[in-house]
Amino acid sequence: MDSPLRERTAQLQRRLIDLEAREDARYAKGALEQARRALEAASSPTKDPPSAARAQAIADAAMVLADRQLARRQSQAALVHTERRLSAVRERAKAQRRVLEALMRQRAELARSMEESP
Amino acid sequence: MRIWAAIVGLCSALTACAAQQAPSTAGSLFASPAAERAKELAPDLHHYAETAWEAARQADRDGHAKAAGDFRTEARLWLAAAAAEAERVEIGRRRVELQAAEERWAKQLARDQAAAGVVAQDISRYEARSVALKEAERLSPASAGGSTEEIAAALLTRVRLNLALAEALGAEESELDPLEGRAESIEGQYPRSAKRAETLLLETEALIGDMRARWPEPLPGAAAELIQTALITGFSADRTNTGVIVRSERFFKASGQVSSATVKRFHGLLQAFPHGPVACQVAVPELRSRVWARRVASLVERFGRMDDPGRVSTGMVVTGALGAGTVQCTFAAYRGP
Repeated sequence: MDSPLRERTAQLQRRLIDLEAREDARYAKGALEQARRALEAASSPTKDPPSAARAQAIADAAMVLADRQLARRQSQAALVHTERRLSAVRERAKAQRRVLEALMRQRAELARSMEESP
Repeated sequence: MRIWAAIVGLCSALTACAAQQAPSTAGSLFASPAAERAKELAPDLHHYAETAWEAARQADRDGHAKAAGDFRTEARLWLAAAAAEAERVEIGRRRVELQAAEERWAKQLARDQAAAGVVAQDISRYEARSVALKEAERLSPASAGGSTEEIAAALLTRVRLNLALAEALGAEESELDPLEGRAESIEGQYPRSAKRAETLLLETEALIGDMRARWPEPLPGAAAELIQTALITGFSADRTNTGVIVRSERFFKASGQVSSATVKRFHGLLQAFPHGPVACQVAVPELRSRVWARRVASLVERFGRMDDPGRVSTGMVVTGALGAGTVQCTFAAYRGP
């Protein structure tokens, strides 16, 4: 394998190591596995340069896929968190509205009774 | 949600397909609604997929089956990445919508909390007008105004108002529910216990104090609330430019002993209005009086048992303006309206 191809494979391997080291890497297991296999193929001494380059391209695409899957998962988690927060604030606001309405009724009754009392 | 589900399906299928090298036409791969969405929301990744797919077709035409297979795998991976990215963008947009809704509800909540505070204050004023005298009399051990039932009823009304105010100020259900449960329990008793109602009232005032303490300084209107609460609980209260002055002649009994009931009510007031130092002065006939020195020391010792003993400082003052044993305390942080 020529030097630029070797350098590119090393670069992709470093990226793969970084991705696999992420705490949430298990959620992109399939794509990472595919990237790993493609890199193994790319670094095989029996591979001709065009095949190695295609294996590198597959590894690159698989790692981008893994990265986007993990980003999507993070967005989903943030969405769930926002949904929960919205639900809590909505419930609290509704409860508060009921309290306010009750208080306003009570104030009106008291005002009426004060007017009626001598 | 249906689009997301379709995209998720496409992603799974694409990943599986990519590994299997199953032949597929460009039409079926790129023509699905999910792929269209991916083209719209992740055009760069979609473009890589199309480029790789075109390379696969060229390799097929050139008779390089192995290369064509590799390019197809690459194309499917890029398209799966584009679909995942499109879904991420959709989720992000949905989240922005929810955040906007959250903001709208939070604004309504804040408006209603403020409004409830004002209404609760109005109610307190009306209530104070109607029950203040009776209350002040009741709290004096020397007097015997009103039946226990009436007193308990008046106290429970204030408990309910305090709970509503605490909720308006942001108290959680877990804080309110036990107190509400106890109010209902007292309500259901016959005869109702004024003593239990008074203990509960002090606890609701402490809860309101906790809510107020979450603010770095007294909220607007807190000085007026302090005066009102002090009056309702049997103290005299005035506003001066140094703060709100709360006064009572009942800190000492006729025997000279410290009145536990008055100290307890004062403690409740301190808890309900938690901001800033409180400076107390005991009016004495003369500073060298050993009798009064002992009494004041005893009062200081009682104040020292409170949650935040350093908050209240106590001194003696000789003045003809106040009767001996009158204690007046300045809540210095309550200078606002």
